Amino acid sequence: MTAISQGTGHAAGARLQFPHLAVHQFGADLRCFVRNKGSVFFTLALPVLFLVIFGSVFQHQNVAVPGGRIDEPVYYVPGIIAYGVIAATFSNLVISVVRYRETGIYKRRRATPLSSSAIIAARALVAALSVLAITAVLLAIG
Amino acid sequence: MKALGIQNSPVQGLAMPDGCGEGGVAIRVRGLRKRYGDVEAVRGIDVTVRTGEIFAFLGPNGAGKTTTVEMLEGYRHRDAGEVEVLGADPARPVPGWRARIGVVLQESQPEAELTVQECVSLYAGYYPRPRPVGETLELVGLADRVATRCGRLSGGQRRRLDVALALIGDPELVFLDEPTTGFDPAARQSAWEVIAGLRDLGKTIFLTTHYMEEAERLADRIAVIAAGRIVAEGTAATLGGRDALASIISFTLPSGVSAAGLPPAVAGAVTSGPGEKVEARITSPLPLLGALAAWATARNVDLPDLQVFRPTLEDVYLQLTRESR
Repeated sequence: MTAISQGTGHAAGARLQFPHLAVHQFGADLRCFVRNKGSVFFTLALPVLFLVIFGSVFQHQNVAVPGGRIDEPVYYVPGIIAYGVIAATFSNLVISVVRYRETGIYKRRRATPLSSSAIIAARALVAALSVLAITAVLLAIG
Repeated sequence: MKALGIQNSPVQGLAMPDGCGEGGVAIRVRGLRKRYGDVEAVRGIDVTVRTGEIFAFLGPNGAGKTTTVEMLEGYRHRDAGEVEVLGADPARPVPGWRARIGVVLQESQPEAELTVQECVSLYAGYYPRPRPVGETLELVGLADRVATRCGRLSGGQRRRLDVALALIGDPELVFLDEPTTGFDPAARQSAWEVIAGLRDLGKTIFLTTHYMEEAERLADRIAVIAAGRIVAEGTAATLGGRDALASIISFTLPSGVSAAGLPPAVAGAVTSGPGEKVEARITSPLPLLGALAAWATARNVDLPDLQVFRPTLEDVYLQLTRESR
């Protein structure tokens, strides 16, 4: 508790660096994502369900593509991956960012030393990771 | 931290000249103005908050409390005036400035998916020198809720978490914007204990509220804001000249007793004949009470409904906010 003019104790050197903050925030965001039933369902479970359903309905059919014919379920894999990517990046991101903004979470964070770039980086990392996860799962099933 | 001893005695604190002792100035505001379209929400505010004190900003809804606080916190840009918070301009925060303030917003929810422990740890990670998580949760009385998801906390518990999140960075200055609005009496009581506990940590606290009782209980100094202006400033005891305001002595003159012989100050205030209510306004009621007692004893009459009223902070506040309308 010193006078205001002696604020150098918290000077620039003491600030946490961006990569550290981004990774710290990423851990929490990932945890929130995994625990949120809505985002997990639409991002991870729904594409798998699509593939399983379409795959079993059109199990014994195949479709002509340049260079030959492939099994119908295999034909669906890239499209559903595209859906998964969109869900993970656009829908999920938009819904959670709006929710965070409405509940005042971002406003509170703005009062902390956390930079907005760290917040954005953490969200991007979560989105990238969930894209990788759903792509890997769909490829494996397909 | 020597200043703490002084804080417990508001009268002494008032006598302290500006910036005296160890306490420097935490917040200095001069001529602050903010306009939203046609409405001028803040119309020239001057405030000085000393280091280590609890300063209450008291005013009705829409008086400009939150607008002012959000300008001090760096959320809103001012139209005019000078603001210095911990030596920096909130509109152009210097590096490290945000680590030195803690903010409890009027309305905000925690990350619903995280547990209390995880949430506080998350915010602790934002700061270069955070307080210990467990100790901070202990301080706000959430130590038994560490594993609860934030989304499942009650309103009062969420507010405690808000306070914990504002404190986790070990700030020098804490802003509390209407921290107990919407609380039941028990929750309010425990919130006050938490805030009083912050004083013991040596924090400077800027509190806004529209509860007189809250300001009276917690604050070393109070400023009353109404319609964008500060209409009074002082301690709970002296605010708006409360200490100089007249007390009211009232009683009913027993029937059959003449008003003649009443002490002069009372005699002049008699509304009409016997059986009527007598009210006298006087700044120092004790000598008059003595005279009145002597008068009653001499005539062998009783004054069963004799009452002495001191103006409450609420009276002063209502008068102040009414005048400015």
